[in-house]
Amino acid sequence: MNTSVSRQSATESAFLIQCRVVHALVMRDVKSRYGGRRLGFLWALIEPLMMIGVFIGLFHLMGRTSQGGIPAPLFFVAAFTPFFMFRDIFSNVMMCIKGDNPLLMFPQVARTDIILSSVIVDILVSLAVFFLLLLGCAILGFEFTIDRPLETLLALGLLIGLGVGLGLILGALTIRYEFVSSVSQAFLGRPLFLASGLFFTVDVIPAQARDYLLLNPVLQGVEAVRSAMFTQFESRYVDYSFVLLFAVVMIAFGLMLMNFFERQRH
Amino acid sequence: MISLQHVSKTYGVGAQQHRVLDDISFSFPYLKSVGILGANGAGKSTLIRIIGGAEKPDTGRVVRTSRLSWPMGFAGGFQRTMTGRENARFVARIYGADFRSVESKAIEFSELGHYFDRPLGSYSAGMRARFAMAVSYALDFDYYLIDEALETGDARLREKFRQIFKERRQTSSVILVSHNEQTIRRNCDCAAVLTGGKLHYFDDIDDAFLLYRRVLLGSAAA
Repeated sequence: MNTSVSRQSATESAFLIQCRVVHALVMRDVKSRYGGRRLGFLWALIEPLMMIGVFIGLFHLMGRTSQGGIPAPLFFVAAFTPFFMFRDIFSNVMMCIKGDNPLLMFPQVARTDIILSSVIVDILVSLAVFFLLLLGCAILGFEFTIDRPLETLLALGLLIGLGVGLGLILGALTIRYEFVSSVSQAFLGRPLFLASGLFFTVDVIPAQARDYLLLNPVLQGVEAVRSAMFTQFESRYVDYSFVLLFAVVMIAFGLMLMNFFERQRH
Repeated sequence: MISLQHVSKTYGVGAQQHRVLDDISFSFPYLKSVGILGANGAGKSTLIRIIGGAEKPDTGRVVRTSRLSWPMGFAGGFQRTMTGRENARFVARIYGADFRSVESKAIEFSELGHYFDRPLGSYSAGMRARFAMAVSYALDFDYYLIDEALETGDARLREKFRQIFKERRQTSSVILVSHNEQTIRRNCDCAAVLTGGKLHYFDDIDDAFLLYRRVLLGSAAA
């Protein structure tokens, strides 16, 4: 047996190699997103802060200070941050799938590793932003206790699942049909922003429209987060099994599509 | 071991289908430098991309149980906002190598000095190529994957990399793809010709060139 045989990494399991690769990709992703800029991580806080500021201002003009019994700042933090997490995961997963990625030139880096690490970074960043914004609210005097922490995590997890699933499906379709990318930005981004309960609770929706809007799993996810978080607010409209099923089916379907269209890549 | 098992790849759809690789099975020999010859458009780059895992074959699979390099000198996988050191560390991490030794070797080979701690975006094209080459040599690969030219930088650096390459050929295997006779003759022990979707292997480089010339003449006649 020659030296190159003994040096080979056959003893190292594929799983360990993947962990190593994903770890390296996560570090690299964090560095390339936030490392090169002067304010670095602060940029991640700016978008939600601006959005929340605008909506608190609008509420103020309407003479309101709370929604569903929750003080406005807390309400918006608990709605926008999870929603942005969903949106970032979805669009970044899509980005990872479409197009050629030079990282694939490294033999042990697979596309699934790139997707996985991007999702991990999005989750970490969003949770950090969420924590900091809630801390900010507490410092400003909007005190709260988290009602059901585990259920809050479950609700956030469902939004993650929805983001991954949607990203996989649309990303896979983009391999074959390029227009999907631009169409989905235009026809999905805005409607989802408006119809996902970011500035209203489900029970203020007129009864006739409610059943239809509840078909939007993201609305249920966002509603679930505040229902689990705040003692003042309890939603009767969240169906966890519906959202879970939706997320699982989308992820499975997305993976299938990705496998199918991968062959047609040029 | 690096081996191709019944690898096929087709591009295009319908009537314009073009089978670039047609059921290729081949094990790359240990401690040998294999040159792969092919006319333009014969599918050399596709083959490199499939061996290196950048692309998946339609059918068949590629077994890689040895430490395989990325296509040598390819700098596209490096992040421009990260410094040379950070990029070297990233590569060391995915290969599970000790990053201190990778870093120090990369500094030594590249001769980038304090630029090693500057973002890659601030490098000139020549420096980036030098960096990529140095990092490739800083890791000890079992198999070096090389697409076309190895040459980079000024005459002195070229000579230096040539020297490193010569040493590595003693302890590692090389897969070199080229359409240049000189490159293959200088760097390889044996050769294979990629034509009509098939890979024809020859222990003797001269035999490989006999076939290669015939292929070139054939395509010129047609």
